[in-house]
Amino acid sequence: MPLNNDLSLKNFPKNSEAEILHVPKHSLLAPLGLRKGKKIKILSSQAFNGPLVVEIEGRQIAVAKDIAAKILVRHEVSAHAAI
Amino acid sequence: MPQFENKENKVLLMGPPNVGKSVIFNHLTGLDSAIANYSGTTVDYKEGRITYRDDDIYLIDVPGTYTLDSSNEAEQVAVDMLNKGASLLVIVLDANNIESSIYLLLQILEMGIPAIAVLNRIDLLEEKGYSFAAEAFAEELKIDIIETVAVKEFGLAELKNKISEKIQIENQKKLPKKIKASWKNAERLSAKYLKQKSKKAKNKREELGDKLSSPWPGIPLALLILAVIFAIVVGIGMGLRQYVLLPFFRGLVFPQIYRLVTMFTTEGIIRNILVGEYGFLIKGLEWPFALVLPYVLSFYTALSLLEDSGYMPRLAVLLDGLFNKIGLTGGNIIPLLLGYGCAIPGIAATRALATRKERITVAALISLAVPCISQTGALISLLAEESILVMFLVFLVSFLAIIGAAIIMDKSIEGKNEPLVLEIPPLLIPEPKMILRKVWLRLKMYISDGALMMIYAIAAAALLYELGILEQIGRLFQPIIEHWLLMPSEASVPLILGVVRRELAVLPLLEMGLNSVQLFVGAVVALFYVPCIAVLAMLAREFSFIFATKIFLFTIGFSFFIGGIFARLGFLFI
Repeated sequence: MPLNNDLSLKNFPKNSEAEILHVPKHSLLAPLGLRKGKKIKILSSQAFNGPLVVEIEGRQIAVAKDIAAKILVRHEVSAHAAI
Repeated sequence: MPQFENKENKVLLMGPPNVGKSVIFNHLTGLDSAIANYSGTTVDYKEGRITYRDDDIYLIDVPGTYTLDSSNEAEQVAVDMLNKGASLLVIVLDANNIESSIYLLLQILEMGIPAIAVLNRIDLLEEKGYSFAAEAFAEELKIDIIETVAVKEFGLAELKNKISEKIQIENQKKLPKKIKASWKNAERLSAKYLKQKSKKAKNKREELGDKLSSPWPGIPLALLILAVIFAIVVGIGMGLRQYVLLPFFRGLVFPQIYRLVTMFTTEGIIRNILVGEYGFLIKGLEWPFALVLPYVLSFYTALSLLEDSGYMPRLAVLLDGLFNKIGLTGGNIIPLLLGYGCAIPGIAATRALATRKERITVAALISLAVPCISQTGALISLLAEESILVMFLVFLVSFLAIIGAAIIMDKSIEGKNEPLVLEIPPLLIPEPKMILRKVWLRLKMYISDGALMMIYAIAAAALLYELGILEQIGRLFQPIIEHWLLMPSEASVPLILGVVRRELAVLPLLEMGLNSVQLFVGAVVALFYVPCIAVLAMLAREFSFIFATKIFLFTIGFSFFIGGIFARLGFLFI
């Protein structure tokens, strides 16, 4: 997987963990835990181009793909060491 | 404007959405604020009074806000209320999501008003294997803190004492320490006082919660859950009506009424008004209590379970993709589902939607094509015995109309929908006591608002019918009813009464001996016809008088238009 091109949360594989690098301005994202430096896990991607369901510190949030595309993340090294 | 605005001893109850503020409010005041497990249940403030010893304390349940940078109209209400000041703030923190609660707390404390923090849902925190050093935290911020589990009433008595203490004892009015409200500070405080005791794997309930919000097996489970809900609502409703309430009224109550009325009246107008065609002692009992009430009971039992379990946001997430295709967002399912109970709470719930465009669209959809439970009960009474197929056709028409109207409104109203960002709350097992209380409240409300209104309307109809006035008015509608809708002229009665309440557009059709096509046409016209007076008033208040007038005129025009077309199509097939 080309890591450099794949920074957007939208393109991240399910069940993988990542660290958030950048979050667009949005009044709900920060209070729901989507902030720089947080660990994020993608639980599911909904049907019919629906939202992603992510988990941050045990809290679950659904984020539309349009917004997820603007959230930049990088792979957690430890989470991927096993692959 | 809040009634208590200028009162002394004003206490604001604030906090993030879905943290349990309304549960606390209800417990402290003995009032009944709406409660559910999703954000945005409280969309307007609610006021209550606590009398403690000799003092009156005025408590205001403020809509939840994630931060003070408001993102919808309900949150703006909260910001406005805070800006007007108060004697004391009670800020409810979500122990389960402590970091963002701390940020909101810091923002609110910047106002420099004495405050009590309430750390609610500590049971969920412990369940995850964490502990929070509440005392030390409160010490650093120079505020008071009380730990609670509001749904189980744990800690609430202590909170009540603390509130009165802070109000009554002068030297308790110390001000909180000012700490700059920033995410950095919130993260620092959270890291300092929140400790992980043990790492726990997800329990069965949490695993089920995850399953319900992923496409597989969430979508098939959603279909199953909705089918079960539908079966419960219709099955219990029909069962109660058929085997309990109708036999009770027709077998026991009505014969007695007939006997008494014939004893005291002679044949003529008065007797007819009481027990005749629209005799209000008969219809005024049978319609609201035997035909509609069973469905109110079964629907609100099912809805309360959906609300309190936290299933509604999961449904919103599953549906978001599909809803986007017709110009809605997943979150719109919540006001729409509430609308199937009654349009008024449905329209109120649109305040939690992110854009004005969504608000107007959803409110219009509810007014046009979502039958309330009273009307659904009436439709089932009218159609189910005659033909189940016709009943399903009517609901199919309703769904298609919702989809069509949503697409048209999306294209015709400027602006874009806000892409979904929605918190999925933990799945909870509803507390039986809470469910009973909610259903009881809805029943009380139905009897005091709905049934009473229906009885008045039936009494008025009985009077007008016997005086021949109803027939006169009917003659005005005759051309359109007989020649366009192909219905008997007496079908003007439901159209006149239907303005008062939605189910009254259906119930008078019951004994007209209509054929299948006429039943279908009558039901469809009733479905799209004017929402009740109370809904029009709500639309005028929430949006504008012009919007309410537009809905009024459009629903009349559209229901007749579509009814006439179906009448012609129907007779082609027979």
